[in-house]
Amino acid sequence: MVDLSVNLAGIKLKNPTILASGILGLDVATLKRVVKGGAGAVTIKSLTSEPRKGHNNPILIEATEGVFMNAVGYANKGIDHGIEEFRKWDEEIPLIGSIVAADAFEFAKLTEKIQETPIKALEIVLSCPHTPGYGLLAGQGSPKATVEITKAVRKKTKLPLSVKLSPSIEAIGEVAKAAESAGADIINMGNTLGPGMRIDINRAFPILAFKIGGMSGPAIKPITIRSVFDLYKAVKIPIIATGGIMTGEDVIEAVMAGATAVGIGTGIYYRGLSVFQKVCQEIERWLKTNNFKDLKSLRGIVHKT
Amino acid sequence: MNNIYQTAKIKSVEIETPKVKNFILDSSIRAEPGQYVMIWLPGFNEKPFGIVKPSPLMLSIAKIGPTTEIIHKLKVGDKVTFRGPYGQSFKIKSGKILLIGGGYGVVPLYFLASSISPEKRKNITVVIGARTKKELPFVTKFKKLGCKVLVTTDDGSAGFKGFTTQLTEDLLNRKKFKAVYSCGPMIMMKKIAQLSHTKKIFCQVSLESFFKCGGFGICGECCVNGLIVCKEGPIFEGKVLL
Repeated sequence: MVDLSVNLAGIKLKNPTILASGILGLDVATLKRVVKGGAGAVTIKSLTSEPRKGHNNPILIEATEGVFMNAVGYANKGIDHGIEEFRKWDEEIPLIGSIVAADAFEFAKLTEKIQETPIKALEIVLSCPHTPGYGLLAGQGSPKATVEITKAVRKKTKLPLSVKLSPSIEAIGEVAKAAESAGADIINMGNTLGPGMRIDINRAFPILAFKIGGMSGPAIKPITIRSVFDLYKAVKIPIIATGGIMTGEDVIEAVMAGATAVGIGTGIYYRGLSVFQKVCQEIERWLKTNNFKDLKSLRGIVHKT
Repeated sequence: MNNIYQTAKIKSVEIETPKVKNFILDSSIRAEPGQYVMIWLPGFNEKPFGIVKPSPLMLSIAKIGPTTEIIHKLKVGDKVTFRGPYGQSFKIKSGKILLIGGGYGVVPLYFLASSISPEKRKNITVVIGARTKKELPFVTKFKKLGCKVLVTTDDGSAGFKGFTTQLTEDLLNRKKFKAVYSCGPMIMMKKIAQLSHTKKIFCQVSLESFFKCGGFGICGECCVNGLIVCKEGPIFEGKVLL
């Protein structure tokens, strides 16, 4: 018997697969289907203080083989609606909250509010590459802003706190250390890559309505693996590897680099809602074949070589 | 690859009703009845539209908002950019079938009827409903296919005065159908799903929802009761509405 369960900053996950934020996380009914698909935890789509329409369509395109590119622009019905919706969560599988805001003060307010839902952890996203006023476009990717925001949120909650970083900034180690020093319990590495752009040459027009977008999909996996590898050396808190994780072998690779759990999003496009189950079966098979009894014994092993 | 945008030119435009125009493009796609394409208007928006005919690609578009208003201004020779097809198609049963379309909801049902071989189309009964006679779409087109066409209008200006659901109930009481397919307002499809369920007849409906990622099934905007409409639909069994 192999053990797929992981301990993520005190939260026990039956397996290391987590639905990444922004994918199918608008309502409880749809998240329940992701739970049926085998996810170890699910993350809601990020909530903002006020309802947001987000960018116009197209918001998501297949940029090239193995790469999706999106600029949704945080379309969501706002925190108050979110609380009403996610208050209904009654699954054993942990629900992870996710919030985005323009500054530390707003992040703190949202943190207070979102705890009216039964979330088991909170993710703060400082790394969106395509929404004016938020994430990278608001300078939230710097160590200074990361400390300020993480501290403000930390004061308002005892829940395990995850900070979602961007793979597109150079000093990720510094930013992750900043988050850790300010009280973060988990680093989610990370957000979509880029931003990138595609132009439709028949119309001579950028395809995404926001023109630029963050990239996801199997092709970005090497960047995720390298980022996790770097962070494992930089911080002691657990790391969630998000970006290009599609298969059980991808999870093994991420764990060897130092990840405790993985985020899966675009993988749902490639492998359906049961991607989580499939990934777990593949992990199990790999562990058995290679005589490992759990993921813990694999974590970060490449750092020893 | 259906995720890559294709740009075609408009070969002809037909005025179907005062609100509905048919656009025939100089391009063909492989698609099944019930599927849709995403039409992109650069710099403006992207929306889903049901396929009327795949070859050459024909779309029937009702003017219902800012996007469709722009599309209605397009003329012969203008470019139309789309990706697709996307979504699940109808499961077409052999034998007598009943199609019920509310207004421009008849679009995917026309593709369904035309995919059945001509000698078998006499087994198809179509109910088309609209508020008034001049808003009834596709009546002549279904007749030309060889289907039996019944119309209903709210004001009685053509056919049965009343709703498609009333006529459907009557038809289901009097005749035996192998399957019922419906597309139109939610309230209509719900009623039809209930009627079919009571009579134990196979029923499929075409759900409408607000699409963002449109066909990829990952953004979650279009979900209705946990169903991913853009990918797992738009065609569902009627029982999902019960």
